[in-house]
Amino acid sequence: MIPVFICEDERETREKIKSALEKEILIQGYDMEIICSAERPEELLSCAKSQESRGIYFLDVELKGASIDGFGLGKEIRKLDSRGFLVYVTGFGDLAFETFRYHLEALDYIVKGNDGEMLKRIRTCLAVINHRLTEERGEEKEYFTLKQVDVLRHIPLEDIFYFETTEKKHHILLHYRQGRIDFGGNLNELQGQLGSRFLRIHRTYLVNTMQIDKVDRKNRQVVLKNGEGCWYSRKGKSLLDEYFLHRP
Amino acid sequence: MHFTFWSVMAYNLIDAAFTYVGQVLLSRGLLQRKGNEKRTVFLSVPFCVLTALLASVIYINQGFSDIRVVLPYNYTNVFFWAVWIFLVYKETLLDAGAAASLTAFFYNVAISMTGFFFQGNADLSVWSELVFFALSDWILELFFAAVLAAGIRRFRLGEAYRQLFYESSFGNRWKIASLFLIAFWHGSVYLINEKKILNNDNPMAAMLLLLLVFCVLNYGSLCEAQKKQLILQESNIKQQETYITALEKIQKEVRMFRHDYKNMISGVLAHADHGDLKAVQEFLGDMAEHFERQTGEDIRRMAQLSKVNIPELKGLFLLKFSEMQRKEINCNLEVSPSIVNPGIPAYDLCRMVGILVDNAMEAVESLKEKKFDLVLTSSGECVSIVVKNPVEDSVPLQEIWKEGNSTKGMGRGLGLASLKRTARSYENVFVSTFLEKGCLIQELKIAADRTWEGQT
Repeated sequence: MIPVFICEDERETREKIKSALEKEILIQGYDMEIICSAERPEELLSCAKSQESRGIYFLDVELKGASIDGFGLGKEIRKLDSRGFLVYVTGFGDLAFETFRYHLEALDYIVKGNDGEMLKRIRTCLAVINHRLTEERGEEKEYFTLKQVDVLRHIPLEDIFYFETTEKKHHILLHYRQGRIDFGGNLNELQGQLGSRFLRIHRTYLVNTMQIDKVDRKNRQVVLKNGEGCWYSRKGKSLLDEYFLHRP
Repeated sequence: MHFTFWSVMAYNLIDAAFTYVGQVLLSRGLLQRKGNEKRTVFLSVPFCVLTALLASVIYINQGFSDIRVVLPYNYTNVFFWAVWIFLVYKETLLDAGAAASLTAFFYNVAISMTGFFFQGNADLSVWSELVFFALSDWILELFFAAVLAAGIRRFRLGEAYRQLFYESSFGNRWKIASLFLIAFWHGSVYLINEKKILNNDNPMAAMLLLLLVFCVLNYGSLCEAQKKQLILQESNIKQQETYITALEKIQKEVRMFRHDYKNMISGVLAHADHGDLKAVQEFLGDMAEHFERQTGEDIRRMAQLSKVNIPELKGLFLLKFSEMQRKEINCNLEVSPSIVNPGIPAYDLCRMVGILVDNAMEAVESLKEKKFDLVLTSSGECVSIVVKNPVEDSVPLQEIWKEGNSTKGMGRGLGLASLKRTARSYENVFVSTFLEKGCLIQELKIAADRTWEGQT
């Protein structure tokens, strides 16, 4: 069961959202339940603390009289539930949604005003979340979490090709299926953290064994499934030999 | 005392160590960064042994009095240093060659400067004279090399070097020309010394050549600076023009709306008279939406832009916006909270952001919906500039970073490589590109201080 949370300071809107959600969950038979419909962010947070599973949050951006606004609340929620679904509901259409999406990975941004339109969007949101959850359920992915200065990113382990040091101190370049991410870190620490699925084939490379396509002995390179090559050192060679010897 | 091969070798080894330190200082000044420090330490051994060996062999065979030997000897040393730069700075071989050539040149100047303090050739067969000569020679050499390195930094020659050799359209010609610098140097010293090799150098010639190189580099950078100044002024004017145009447009829209709304209100009244509440609702909804679409967007963008508190960057955006208007590209700008300079020079910031925006414009130009997002946000820890544009088909992600590569064919795609080059001078700058839900996201993060270190 997936917990659903609402935080909205206007009672009327809160009730509207709540009843729309309840109806939709009932009709579609989603495995969700509204466990908290709060006026103040503190209420929601204390309620969310007692929950362990990934939740769905419908949040107002402007919370009158509260100590934090919806953006601050989103940040707090992310600390508790890093992969939950955040949906913002706001009276102002011109607030910066991309910023929310960037910092909080917010799912949607619904503008209040036209009730019919708003409730339709809420229903769509639930459908999208449900679709995503069913899709993910089958494949139980493992994630690697990195801190990119001020934002956290979750990268599926299986998508990672390799990590590389750069000429800049304390910088690591992560090469994965969707691109490359430059973040602050240390290859030795990463190696310890990621365990035996990653091989340190060179002082500057930490390679995902799942992504090795072949070993090009002539050029002393490991060729990955995306076609990129990484050099290996003599020590790396013996690691590779050992890996392929014991591979099931 | 008698010179054996080994005593000469010992002398040259110490000499090479001083040269090494001096050249490291000079290269750092020129390339404006430290490179790989571990390698800097480790490579000192092979470098010193190789150069000392070469010098010793030539000395024993009395080759230093012949320009036909001196020239290849110097080029071999330049080659060693090019390999050093290649390994420590990960430059390409041509870039490393150019940098090595300039480093060697500066170091030669430093050596020549010591000539002002010595009169006549020292008698190296006398122990005391040898020790005195050696010590003062080495220390003075290093001293002048350090002074030159400081000068390079002080007069921003590294900046000029980068602009002339990497950023200008004649970069490769400059690089190749610089390779002849050493030949030019020894040739001119040879000629000035009336075709005799004395100390292998001549301080006056050194001064003149240094002046020449300094002038060329400075002139080059001055030209670039003037170009930049001009662009800045132009962009300032453009900025104001665009601003005025935008405000005039908003004013016009509002005036038209005022003109229309009387008619509209009478329409609403007619509906209300009939008691048709639904029609009234629809009508008002349409009216609000119409206004929002026509004028709201412009007002919004100007409001966002006013939160960019870096004049150069604001100018860049206005310039890009007018270009986008021409190309009918729609850019959603979000700035929150307001952005101040994160502590890197504005011209480099603009250069990097400009590349990201250009890339996005180029990418959406061919799409049906020409629209992309530009998000500037800052937290206490860092300033993030995120450009997000939809992409139609798969982008060859590993390719787009390579020099001269682009999904758009020849002549494009210098962007990301040049961005990488600018970014590598700043340890607190993070550049990432990745795909997410059908969009290419290019991200520039500038950390405020060193808090990001050691975080995983």
